[in-house]
Amino acid sequence: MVADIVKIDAPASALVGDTIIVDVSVKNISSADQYIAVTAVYDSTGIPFQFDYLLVSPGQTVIMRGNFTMPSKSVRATAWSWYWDGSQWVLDDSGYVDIALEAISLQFREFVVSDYAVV
Amino acid sequence: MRGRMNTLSEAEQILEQVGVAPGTKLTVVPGEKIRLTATIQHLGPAVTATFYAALGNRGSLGFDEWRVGQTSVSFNQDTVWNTYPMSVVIDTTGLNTNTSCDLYCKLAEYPGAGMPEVDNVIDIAGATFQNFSITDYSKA
Repeated sequence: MVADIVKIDAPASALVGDTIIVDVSVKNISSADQYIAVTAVYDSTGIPFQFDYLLVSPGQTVIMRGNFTMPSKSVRATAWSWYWDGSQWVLDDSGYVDIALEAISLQFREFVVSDYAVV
Repeated sequence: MRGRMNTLSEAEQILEQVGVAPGTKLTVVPGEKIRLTATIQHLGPAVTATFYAALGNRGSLGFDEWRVGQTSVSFNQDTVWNTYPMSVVIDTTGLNTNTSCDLYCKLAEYPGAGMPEVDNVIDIAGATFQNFSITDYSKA
């Protein structure tokens, strides 16, 4: 293994419509500089990331940040790490986090009389 | 001239249908109906509630409800705050005249939503006479 996914940070729960930030920490555990990339999906939808790939020094950990909008159901975000072997991208490690959909509690506000009239 | 009178009459009818703002006095005679309109913002799951309004008098022991009106209101599932208009009709038949009334409304099943109230805004008018004069007299 070269690109070790150390951890994936994302909220455990969110409301529909929230922006979910997924931080994938990847460590270069090889003894040489490596081009490392991360891809991810929630369900079957791709998650865009801030960088396509980064050049990572031996022992260095980088955080690749992606985001998506929380849909109206709980989702699993799965991430994969890749490294460049000089001719192609090689799939290396994977991990996932589950994000539960938070139910919105019933709330009322701004209850006011607007007008009254004889009908 | 007749057409102009009709237009004026229609305009007056339209004006009567337009509600007055909270705090403004409205005079009614027993038997007329009052339409109260309110708005509320909702967030969360879909629910159905009873929009309840009462005409009466706010006293030291609470609101003495003389006449009430109620109607069912449906709220959709809202993931963002959504404003709903609601209206209900209160029949004033049988009310004592020459009194002043208060109005309040609520969602019967959700007291936490609030109970907006406007006091001393409805006058129940009694019969009035004017231009009382002798027009003629003759041997009967």
